[in-house]
Amino acid sequence: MIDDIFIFDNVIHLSDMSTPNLRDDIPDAKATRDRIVRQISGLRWPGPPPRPDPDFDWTQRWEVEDMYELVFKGSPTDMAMAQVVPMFDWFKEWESPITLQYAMAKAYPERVMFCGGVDPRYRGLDDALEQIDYQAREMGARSFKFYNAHERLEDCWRCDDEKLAYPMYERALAAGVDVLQFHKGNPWGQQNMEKLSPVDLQAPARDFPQITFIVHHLALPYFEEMVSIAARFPNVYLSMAGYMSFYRFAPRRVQEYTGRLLQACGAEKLLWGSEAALAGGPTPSLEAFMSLEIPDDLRNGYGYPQITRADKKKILGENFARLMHVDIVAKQQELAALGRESRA
Amino acid sequence: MSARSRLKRESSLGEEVAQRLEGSPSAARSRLKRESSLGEEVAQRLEGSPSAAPSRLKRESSLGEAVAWSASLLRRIDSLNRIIRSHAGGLELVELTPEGEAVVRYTGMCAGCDYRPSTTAGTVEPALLDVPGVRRVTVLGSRIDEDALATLRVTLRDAGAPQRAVRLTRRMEGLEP
Repeated sequence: MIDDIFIFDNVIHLSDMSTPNLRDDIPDAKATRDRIVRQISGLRWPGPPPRPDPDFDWTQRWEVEDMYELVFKGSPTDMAMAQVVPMFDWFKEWESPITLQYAMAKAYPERVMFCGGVDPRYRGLDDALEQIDYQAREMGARSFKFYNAHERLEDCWRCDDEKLAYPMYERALAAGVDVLQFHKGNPWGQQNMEKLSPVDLQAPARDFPQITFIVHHLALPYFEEMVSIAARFPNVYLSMAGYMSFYRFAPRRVQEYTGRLLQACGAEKLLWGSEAALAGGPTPSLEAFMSLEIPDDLRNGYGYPQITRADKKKILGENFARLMHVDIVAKQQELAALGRESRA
Repeated sequence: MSARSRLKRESSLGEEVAQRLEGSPSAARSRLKRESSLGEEVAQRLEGSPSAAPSRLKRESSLGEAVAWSASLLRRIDSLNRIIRSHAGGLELVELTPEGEAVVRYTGMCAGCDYRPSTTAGTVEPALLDVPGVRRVTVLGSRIDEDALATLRVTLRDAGAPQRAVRLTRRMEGLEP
């Protein structure tokens, strides 16, 4: 908790961008990995703790205990969802493997939920459907993460494809999973941008009103499209997914976008997401978020509302807890009891 | 599937409200119970839930008022819907708190519209605040700066918009000639 506010982090990734996980059959796998890591390193708050060593290898395979230390011991985060990144383009076991996310949730079930991941272009739709069943029924996946854009154009798919995408949504629902998540915007490497536009989520949001669609990264640079979609569809939510990291060097931009989101979509639609581990430990972003205000000139010039403590409570934990059916008071009691036990 | 789902989700308010007001008592009870905290209390009262007994005893005198208040609010939202329908949109009640806060949200073409603050300040808010017991109106997903809102309210008041909204909705409900 931070300032007595419950924190439920929508997205952490136990990533594995280590050299052994790079695909041997893709000549530019290492160069692309290095480019991605350089790009993400710009978002990381420098210095202490928990990783003061400038030579620390962030591409490492993140094991459960490392992640627990980074997110739960090194920050006031109460709960988190460990999300698969089914990015097979350069990585053998994907960028954030199923096994690692599952291991994290299994090791700390009171704090971590498992978000599975599939891709119909990996081994075909049938395999993806089987995986949805398996991950939901056997591994306890509470959600699924999709990446519909890939480096090779033939690997890309659309989220409104009724033959390819809809069967996955239907299968997830049948397995009891009604929260689906999508990486939008923020291209990896030199992918085509238009594949990452959120516009192809409108039809699914209309056709599956019983599903909650969470879109990550504010779909940047498709921000206004994203605002319109989240404002118009009651079942579309936005994960801030690492966005607060920009506050370190572009605070004005964060103030502007947050003001716009509060004005048009409402705090009820926003979810906190740290993007640990690659974005670093969550503490600096959390502290920045708690200090965030919408300045007077933006309020006067655009009519953006001030961000309130009630807004922050919703964004940091209440909204995601509601979606994932977590009773915050009961969870706080559970975690407090566990803390007492571990001290004893 | 899409059309059906859409219809189900957005479920024309008018229809819902009409059902609430005119439909079977049990349907009305279950809707009230589901949709509002006050409604829940009222529904418990109507159903005679034993767990509600202490609160029932304490609040016996105010429950009749609460039922009337709740019905007036739903009727007012129905009236507003008839006005807002000209925008191909709608309004629905999300929550009614015991403190008198009516939480609503726009549907249809009004959901996501950048002019929501204007419709809220000029039409929805004054018409809902006119319902006895409603002390505050909150529109989910749409909020602007307090100063900007104050300016907007003054402009709209000078243009007669809130007065017109109250007059129109009252007439629709037969409260004014």
